[in-house]
Amino acid sequence: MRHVAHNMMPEALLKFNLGDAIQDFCDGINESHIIKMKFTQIGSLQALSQSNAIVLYRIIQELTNNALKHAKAENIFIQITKHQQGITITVEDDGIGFNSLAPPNTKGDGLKNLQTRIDYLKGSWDIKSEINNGTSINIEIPV
Amino acid sequence: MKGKTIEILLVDDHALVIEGMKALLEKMPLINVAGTAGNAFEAIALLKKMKVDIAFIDVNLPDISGIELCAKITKEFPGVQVIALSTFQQSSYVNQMIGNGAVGYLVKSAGKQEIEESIQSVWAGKMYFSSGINNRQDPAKDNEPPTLTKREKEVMKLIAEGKTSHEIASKLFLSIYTVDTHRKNLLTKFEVNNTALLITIAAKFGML
Repeated sequence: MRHVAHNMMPEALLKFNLGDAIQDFCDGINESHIIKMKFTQIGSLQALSQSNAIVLYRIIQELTNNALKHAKAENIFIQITKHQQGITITVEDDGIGFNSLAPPNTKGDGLKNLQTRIDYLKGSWDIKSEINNGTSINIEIPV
Repeated sequence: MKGKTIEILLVDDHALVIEGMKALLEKMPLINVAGTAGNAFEAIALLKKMKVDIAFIDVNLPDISGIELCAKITKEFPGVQVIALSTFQQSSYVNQMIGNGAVGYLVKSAGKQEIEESIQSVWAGKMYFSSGINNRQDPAKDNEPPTLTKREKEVMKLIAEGKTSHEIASKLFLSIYTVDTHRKNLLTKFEVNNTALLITIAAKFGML
């Protein structure tokens, strides 16, 4: 399971764009039938630099990984929206959730890495989660 | 056109693939391997010289990729049908090749029968995809509602209640700009151009 979410630099990201790479990422996980991934992109990501695309790819990979490891979810939904002020990324699962006002163990490297990557892109993020009502993570990246 | 020999061009940088394909194709009736090339330059040179009906093109060629070569061939040699040849079955590769004019996509794990099928379908004017490739259609299907994020669902419910963007913004602690973006995205996802239609369709799907 870890293997699926942890694959190396995807070729699609080097050759094409973030949307194609995320679609491949989702297709790959769907083939394992562990969980159902869905991906929607709104707007064009052509203007995104390759290095920023890689950072965003890693962020999405990390969030998906978290959901696979902890959420006991059946579905994960990823959405990337390009709008005038930037890019919004949403990663949602329908798993067990947690109390987002008192987040669980944040000592792991996962969330720290996530924070570092989002800081690098001068972005902001928020987590919304409720016990037994899934988790929704929103990331705003300015352009 | 039927009953006539189909002229094939093979483009791949691996000699083994070329030789293997050639050996298989030469056993098939009414199929002739007109030429083989190891890269895009050789392929273009051959196309200028000889008549080719179907070109099998490796997606991963050195220097000029099969994806670029495919675009060039479709533009400059419109009589040539391109079938992509690849070890990858990720949709990004398939989409790029199809987007550049390929009419078929064959994975290298294909056997003799699949290769023959690909030629026959393309020759008959149909598209061909190896089994195992999910020939993805556009996500907007009439009978399936788009997937919405929790935030979009909240915004949509408030729109349905007749709230203005200002009211929605203050209720959800969002900027008015963000609410408008959600509104636009909802219209895009439901493929409608006004909120009234959005609400009607969402209600039909039982999403409100």
